[in-house]
Amino acid sequence: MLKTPRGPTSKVAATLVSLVAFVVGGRRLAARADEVGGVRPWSPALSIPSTTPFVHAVVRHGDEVLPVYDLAARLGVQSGTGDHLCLVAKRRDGLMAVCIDADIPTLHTLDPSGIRTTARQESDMIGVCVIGGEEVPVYSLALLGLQAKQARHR
Amino acid sequence: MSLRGRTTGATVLVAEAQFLVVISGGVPVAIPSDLVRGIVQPEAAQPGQTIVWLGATYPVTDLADRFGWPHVAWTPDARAVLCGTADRILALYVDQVVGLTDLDRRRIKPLPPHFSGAERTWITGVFLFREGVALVPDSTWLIGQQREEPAPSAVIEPPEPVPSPALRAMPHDSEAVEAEEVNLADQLDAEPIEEVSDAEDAPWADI
Repeated sequence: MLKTPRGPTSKVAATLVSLVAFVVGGRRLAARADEVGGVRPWSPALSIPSTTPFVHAVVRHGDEVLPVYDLAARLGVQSGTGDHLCLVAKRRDGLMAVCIDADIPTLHTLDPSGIRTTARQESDMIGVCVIGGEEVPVYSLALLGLQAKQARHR
Repeated sequence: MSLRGRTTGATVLVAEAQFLVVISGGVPVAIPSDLVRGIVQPEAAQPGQTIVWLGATYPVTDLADRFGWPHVAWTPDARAVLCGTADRILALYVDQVVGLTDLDRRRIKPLPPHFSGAERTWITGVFLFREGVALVPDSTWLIGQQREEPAPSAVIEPPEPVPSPALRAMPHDSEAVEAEEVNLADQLDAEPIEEVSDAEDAPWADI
């Protein structure tokens, strides 16, 4: 009978965390891979009159209509005029589309200790890590923008 | 007919609704057809003015203003959609009239929960329309807050009106423009218009 060996090596592998690195307005960011619902070509968004911070549009993918979270506006960067990609974020209250630069997102595996928290970070930010020699902020897509939403309900 | 049968029929009627789809600020917007009293070509009417049609005076509002969208340059496709309820009337200036569409109300999806602000009272939902999405505004919000007379702050100095042949013969003041009726059949391409049983409630559909 074939059996997967269970040794120290596999225990170490189980604790590693997978991150997806992507670019918004020229700024490199990362998010946990299990909170990414996919990456698709960007479709034109439909503007929705809205008072919700950074949620002012929806985008259609097939029969699915997703709200758009304007991460570029939140970061204060310009998303540029070229092609874009749609990063599907698995937020707690449902899927959400995030417009990212056309650079193909990359997958990275690292030890959780490689993500360190910073003194001043927002509630939807996990910390920062080093990818390719560059310090990259790691966001929780499950919590992306949720604090602003909850603050409005208080 | 049995009572049970009548109940079934009523359920089918409620499930379907008719909308007039217009374009405003590049966005398809579906106006419930039971609000629509007419569609006119606003040759000289601008937001802040009024349109007189069948004896009623409609204050003109740009639909893009209601949504806070940027204005699109005037085109010959621009129309004023005359809307009204029992106690309020309003002319909505739109960039283009697309046409009538019948829709199963179950196809209207509410706004995703991510939208958590006042927009939940402005927008009933969205539905898949052609290659994109159309917006269904809340009827009460759409015309409910508008007063019959435009607020002074909303008055825009109108450009020098260019009287149409239909207007030259009739006197009118500088702010009230007698509407030129539009042949709706030229405007509608989403659905062919068929006579419906409740056509008396929608006189604008009688073409």
